[in-house]
Amino acid sequence: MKQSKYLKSEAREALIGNYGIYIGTYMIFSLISLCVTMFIYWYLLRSMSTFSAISGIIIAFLFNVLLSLLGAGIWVSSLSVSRRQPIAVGNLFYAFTHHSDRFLIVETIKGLIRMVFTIVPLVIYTSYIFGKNENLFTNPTLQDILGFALNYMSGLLLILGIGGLVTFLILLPFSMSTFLLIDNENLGAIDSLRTSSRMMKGNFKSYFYLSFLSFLGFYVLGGIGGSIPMLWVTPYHHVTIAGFYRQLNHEL
Amino acid sequence: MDNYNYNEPYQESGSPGMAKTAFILGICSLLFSLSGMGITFAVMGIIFALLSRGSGKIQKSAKNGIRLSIVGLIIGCIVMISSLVYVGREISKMDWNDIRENYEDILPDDSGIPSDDTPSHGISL
Repeated sequence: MKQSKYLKSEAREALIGNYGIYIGTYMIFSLISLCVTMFIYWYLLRSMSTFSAISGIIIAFLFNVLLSLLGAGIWVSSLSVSRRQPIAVGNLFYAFTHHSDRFLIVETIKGLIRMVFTIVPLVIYTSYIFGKNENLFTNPTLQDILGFALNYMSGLLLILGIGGLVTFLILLPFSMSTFLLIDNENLGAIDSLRTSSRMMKGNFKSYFYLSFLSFLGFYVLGGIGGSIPMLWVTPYHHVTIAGFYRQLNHEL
Repeated sequence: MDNYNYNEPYQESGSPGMAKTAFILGICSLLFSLSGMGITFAVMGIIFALLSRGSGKIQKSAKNGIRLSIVGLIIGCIVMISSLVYVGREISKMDWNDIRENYEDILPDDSGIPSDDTPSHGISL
């Protein structure tokens, strides 16, 4: 609790004067992610065949790995803010220019775990529910469409919520691997995963509290506010996690 | 010996600019509480106020911003829930067959959107 309070106050202080550029970078990342996700969704729903479902999973996985490389750029910015260093929008492409193979391996491993628990159930659920309600689209009534959309969206959110939490818990030991790769250019991908799990030993509880529970209120509030307030909450969350890494690295 | 450099300007922790923004957002949340935007302004006001304190104590204008935002949020939520209840009641009273007939009259025959009059072989996305 005390550690969490200290890290959060440090993050708030470090972010003052840096919100603009951080939010700008994050918005570019979110826009690219949104376009990619919409393309995947369009591809997946283009035809309701087994081929489209399987190729949809593969395409979703490949794009998610590439997006994670961009995501590493966001962590570069958060680490720089935490260290009171200047940040730039160009940080977004950091992983592409600094031994991208290491980031690619780590993100592929993480992406595989993420895919098993989120994308695969999502694709199976989407294919199943659209296949089951195929007759609905031949002669739809507004009430039927609304009922279907409500059922589909609630199932989607449930799968994403449970899958996301399971993935978070499984990937907990490897949470610091991206920071380690950013800080040590000579560190290999597998070594970063090993070092991360060594660093995280005995710190699972505090990381879970700091990263998930202590920000739950902010995320609920952001959701009520129509997601616009999340633009300010996300940098706060990221810089706090960067502070946690710095503490484990004996910098704080 | 006192090592403090008295020529160095005193730097207050936190952001007075964000605190003032929180206060303004609190006022906006009250002004727009009858529209849907009131809730967004209120939440942003609370978040700005909390983030403005940095590593120090919360400033007076931020505190006032939180108070105004909470009031705006409560009014906004009441307005939102009562409008949803009203819309829900009105929808349940609607005659769906009448709406469908109107919708079929408005659509041109070659629109491609399936209706009772046009034979359909599935939906293309």
